[in-house]
Amino acid sequence: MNFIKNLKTGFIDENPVFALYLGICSTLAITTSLNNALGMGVSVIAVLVLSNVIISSLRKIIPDEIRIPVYIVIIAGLVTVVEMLIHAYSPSLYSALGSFINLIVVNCIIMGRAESFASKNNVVSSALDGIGMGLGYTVSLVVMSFIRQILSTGAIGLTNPFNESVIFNLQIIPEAFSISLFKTNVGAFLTFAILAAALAAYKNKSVSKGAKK
Amino acid sequence: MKKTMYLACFLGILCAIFGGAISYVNELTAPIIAQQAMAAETAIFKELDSEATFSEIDITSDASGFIKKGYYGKSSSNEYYIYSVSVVGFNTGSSIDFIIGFNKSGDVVLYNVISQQETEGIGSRVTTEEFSSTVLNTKINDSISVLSGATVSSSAVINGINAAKAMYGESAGVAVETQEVEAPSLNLGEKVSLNSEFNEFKAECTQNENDEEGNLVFACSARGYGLIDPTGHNAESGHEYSKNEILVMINAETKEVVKIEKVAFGDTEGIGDVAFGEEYLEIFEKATIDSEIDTVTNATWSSKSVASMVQAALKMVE
Repeated sequence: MNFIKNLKTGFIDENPVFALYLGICSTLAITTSLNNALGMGVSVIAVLVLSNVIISSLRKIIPDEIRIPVYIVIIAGLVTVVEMLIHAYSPSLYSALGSFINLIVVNCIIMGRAESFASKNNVVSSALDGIGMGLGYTVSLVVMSFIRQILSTGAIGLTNPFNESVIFNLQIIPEAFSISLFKTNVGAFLTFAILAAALAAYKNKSVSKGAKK
Repeated sequence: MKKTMYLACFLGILCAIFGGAISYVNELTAPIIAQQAMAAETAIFKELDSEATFSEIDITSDASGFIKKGYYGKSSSNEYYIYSVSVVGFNTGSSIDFIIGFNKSGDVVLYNVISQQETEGIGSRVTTEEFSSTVLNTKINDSISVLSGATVSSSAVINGINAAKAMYGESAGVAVETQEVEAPSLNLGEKVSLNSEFNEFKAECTQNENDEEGNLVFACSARGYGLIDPTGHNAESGHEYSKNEILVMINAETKEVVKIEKVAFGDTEGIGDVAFGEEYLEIFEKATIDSEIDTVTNATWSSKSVASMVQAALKMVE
């Protein structure tokens, strides 16, 4: 039950992107394609889970006075490793994500969960929290990129980041009707605002339903 | 003290552990990344001649330090010498990496910028057709002109190309003439009257002793573009705001400008310095307060800075 509760928290109640407004920079910048969203999402899940596990394991010996520098060393080290692995095994993803891979270090979700959860809970719960939050972040990115890619190009597709083979590519809307605005920053903000409003409306509805009961 | 030592040791040990982990992963991935870079480069070569096979050649005799790698390619119909070059452009700290290739006749058959972080629309013009058309299909001893308005970036690339030409000469056993980087021809734009308002430049002149020919000499200064960069390109000017200084020589009888000499240039190197070159300053010769002067395209502010100083000097003579 804890697992499901953690998942629901990460997806809906405390969705890091649309409810807590964390990690917005990368969300707005890289969600132009499904490939980028999944690549970034998986990277963040890996860093989040590993950093939560390491910090939770060391929580009883990390001196309180230097806990933030310790978290930074751990998160930065993990991000550097992830960056090198992406560069080596998926060069196309590396060039698509660019400097946003390094910016995972300053993604508020990771530091926030380290400070508010991993430093106070056991390893298993911290790992589950990392998975939940990471999946929430990834799903948020995927939803945004889904909308932006379809509206801006008319198509949705996915390629294998390791060998560039096309997994699927569907033309949903004729290209002549695509709205290139959604490829730009303006389109990113618009999509983000609509999704954040939709989540807030859903949460309000759930709260009022619960109150009526 | 003990507590501080403990905290420092804890952090130091953690840094060492993670540093070791990063180093280990780097050892595993560096060869793979290098292999991918080579595959990306040779993919470009294949576009040049799909039949040719390429192998790396020795470039240790390169004196410039610009040549990073050299390749020799051979097919049934041609031979190729291709060099991977890295130069520093306008933005120090980042490089312009490009590939330049020659065939056995010494024609430039390949020019491809792999990466650059120059200013968009200015230095990045080295990646455009505007520049590549002056490079591709030229002969080994042809000179390449610098781009007006992107002098620093294009000069850097041309210096890299010249280094590659020297390497080609050595590899192919061909005599290559040493080439100087050619100054760009002026690209003149809007006209401006020397009687216009130039208040924003705050031009000031003081009269010096007359020169040997009896001309009035004025030492003038004016505001430049206003970039404050005490540690970078304008370090020599030593001013809080960029400041330009010239000497204006005026014929006392005809009240015409005889000559202008540059004293100090405080604007953006590679952009405004065209307006302080000899070729542009010559335009002011025989100018009076009623003359109209052309400004340099992409260096309008610097051109007007010169014009404001010339106006200030001419007004002192009236």
